[in-house]
Amino acid sequence: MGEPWSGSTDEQLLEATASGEEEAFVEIYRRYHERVYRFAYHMTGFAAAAEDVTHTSFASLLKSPRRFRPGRAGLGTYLCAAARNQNLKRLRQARHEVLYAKPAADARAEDPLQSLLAEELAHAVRDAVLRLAPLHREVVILFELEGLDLASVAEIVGADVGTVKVRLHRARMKLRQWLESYVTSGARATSFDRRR
Amino acid sequence: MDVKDAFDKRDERLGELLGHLRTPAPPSTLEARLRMTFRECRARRVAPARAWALIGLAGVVVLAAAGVLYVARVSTPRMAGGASKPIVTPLSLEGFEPVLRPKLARLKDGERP
Repeated sequence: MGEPWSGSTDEQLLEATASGEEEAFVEIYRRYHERVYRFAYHMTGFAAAAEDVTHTSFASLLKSPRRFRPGRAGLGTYLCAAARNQNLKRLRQARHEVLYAKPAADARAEDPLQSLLAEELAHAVRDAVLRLAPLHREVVILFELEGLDLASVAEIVGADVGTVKVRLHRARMKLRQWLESYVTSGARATSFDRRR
Repeated sequence: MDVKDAFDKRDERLGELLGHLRTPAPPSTLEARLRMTFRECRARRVAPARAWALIGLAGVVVLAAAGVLYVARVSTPRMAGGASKPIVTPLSLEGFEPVLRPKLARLKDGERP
């Protein structure tokens, strides 16, 4: 037997959530939690903070459901925007950014050298992304990593598309500069990716 | 590639590098935490509704009691045979004699009202 709410639209799930259906809310969570958590993780750099941000973003659907207007943006976009706002709030409170916690080693890598190279590349990319200003970092993550279109990114960050393009351009310039050796030696990264 | 394309298109090489970013799986406790939050919110939403329902019910009971008291103490019982309440005019004391006759008699005898 399948999940009872798996075939429902987001609007139906929201209505059912508002009328007290717990499983409808859990279905919303299952649909969008990975995207929201990934975004929160790369913005905060810390798993525990990402968990809190993700939790608060979904909880905002319960505490103030009228803030989400279906005609304006999709539910995933709304939740990413909520995660973004939570993260900015967290940054204002902390007044400093938390460094990335070291992620667990990739279990897929069998060759130690390959594992080391992958680790080094991941570390370099992570450091470069974290060096970006939060406003630049968020557009890079949403556009390049999450694959959202410019209009959705603009909706999430609360800016117009032109501003997003400018931020994206500046962020790319900086990343290219900081990751110059990896950008120019493109074969290096892809070769061991293909071998996996 | 013109300037517009440079803005609008994804940077393949950069996207590939960003693909090396690792994201740990969301903790399994997150769903449980959200379930708890959902139940708390639902309880908080239901509690005021219940309180208002109780207040409303109490109001109805008070009004009903007041109505019963009014009928019992103030309004005049219906006449025998189902006739409507007597209309009190200066000329007609029909139905009020048991109360008013002795009073009128005492007033006639000189009692001050």
